Amino acid sequence: MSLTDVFFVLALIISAFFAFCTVGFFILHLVIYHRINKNFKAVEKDD
Amino acid sequence: MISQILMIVTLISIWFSLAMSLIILTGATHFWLKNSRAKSVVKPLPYYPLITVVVPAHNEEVVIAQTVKAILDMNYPQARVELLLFADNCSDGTYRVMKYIKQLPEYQKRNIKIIKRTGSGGKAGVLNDALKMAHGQYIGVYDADAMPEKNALYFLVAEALKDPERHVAAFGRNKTRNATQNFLTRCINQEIVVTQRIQHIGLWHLFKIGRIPGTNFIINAEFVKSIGGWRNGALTEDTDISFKIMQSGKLIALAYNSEAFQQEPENLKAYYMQRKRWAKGNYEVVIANFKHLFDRSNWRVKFETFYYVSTFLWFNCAIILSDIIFFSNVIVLALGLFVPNLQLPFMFSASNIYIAQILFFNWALMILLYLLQISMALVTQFGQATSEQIWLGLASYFTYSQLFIVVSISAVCSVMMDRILRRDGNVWVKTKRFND
Repeated sequence: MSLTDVFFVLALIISAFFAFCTVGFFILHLVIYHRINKNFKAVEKDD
Repeated sequence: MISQILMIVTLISIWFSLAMSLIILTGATHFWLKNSRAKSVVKPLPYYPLITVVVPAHNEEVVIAQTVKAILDMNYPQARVELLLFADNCSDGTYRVMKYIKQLPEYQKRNIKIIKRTGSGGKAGVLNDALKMAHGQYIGVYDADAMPEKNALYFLVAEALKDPERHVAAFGRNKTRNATQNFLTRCINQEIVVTQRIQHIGLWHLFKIGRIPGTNFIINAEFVKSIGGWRNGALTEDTDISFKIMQSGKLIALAYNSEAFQQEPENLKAYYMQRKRWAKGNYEVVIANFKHLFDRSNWRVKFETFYYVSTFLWFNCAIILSDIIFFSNVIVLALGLFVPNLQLPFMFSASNIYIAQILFFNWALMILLYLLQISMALVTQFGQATSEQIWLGLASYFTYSQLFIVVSISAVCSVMMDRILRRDGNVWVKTKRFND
């Protein structure tokens, strides 16, 4: 295995990890949006 | 070969930056998941310390009246607030406006002192003068353009009193009050929301690291005296004192629900002057604290120094390198229309094409994470999470964010020239205010 191949495998693993994290954070972002948006709606209705 | 090494250096820099962003985003996400159902409750405090609120104002007649009224109308016992208004080397009507507000019937019984100042030292000089006059247990600072919300001071004090021994200072958030003015202020608004809702919260939640902002914070008066006060003439007196506090092992606590509105630059010149001052001040702090990376300093100081060095030196160099690679290739591509057989200066050979694809994938990931950070920050603030903001974020990535390069190159050159020519680089350029 050449040095370039080793770097490529390493780069692939690191990039896949970052991609996985990004997807995870996108889902968590939706959860937070849903929760906080509900709070905002409650505030809007609060007389 | 050299071009390939340069591209790999760029890739590793992107990974490093992605990793740092993801760590802080993890902290912020965990915080918001924990607190997204919590209600902000204003309960009586165990006691109400006397707070000396200081407002340094240099030619601020446009905004000072609103600021003073907002401070005096805050939800904190009136007898426990001492207000020091500094008309610092003013050549406009700031002093007159201050006197007018003081004479209003609703404020006549309030403890307000107006000081016409002619001394030097910039904002740090004003704060040091205030320190000598203050009677309060804590000093609160609001810039002349900052309009605190009703409970801003209450939340700051509540956070400081959670652990008065360690929390020697508490800071809140600043929101942009002229966010909808133009494209620039919209971009600044996004930057501020992300900085405060992701970066500040992530750093505090994970590492108990806080940074004193220019405005909307309180600090224990005796403690400031014990560390020698603010550094006169410092361009970013806030960053400077933050390092001093961390060095002493004490904490700068984040009161995330303490909010104040501040005005941001509305044109490029005002923006450039403000950010250049900040960048120069931050470079000075980085240079002054660089030695702490290798000595036995507090680990928070090491972390912050490393963070600043990464942002202002490494990351900045990587962006410049990346832009050189990009524009060199674009120029050669354009020339190729007229001159045949020109070879791109930066490219991978056919056998390494997969690495080039990974580089491209990581770049796309970086933009995605940038948008995700903005989105995550915006959903936590009322009225900010709109689809327009996502498009604005994308546009600002290719426009507004690139201004950072211009500002920091200019600041580096300025710092170097200050040293070579032995000139005083600490010339405070006041941020221009606008009628809004």
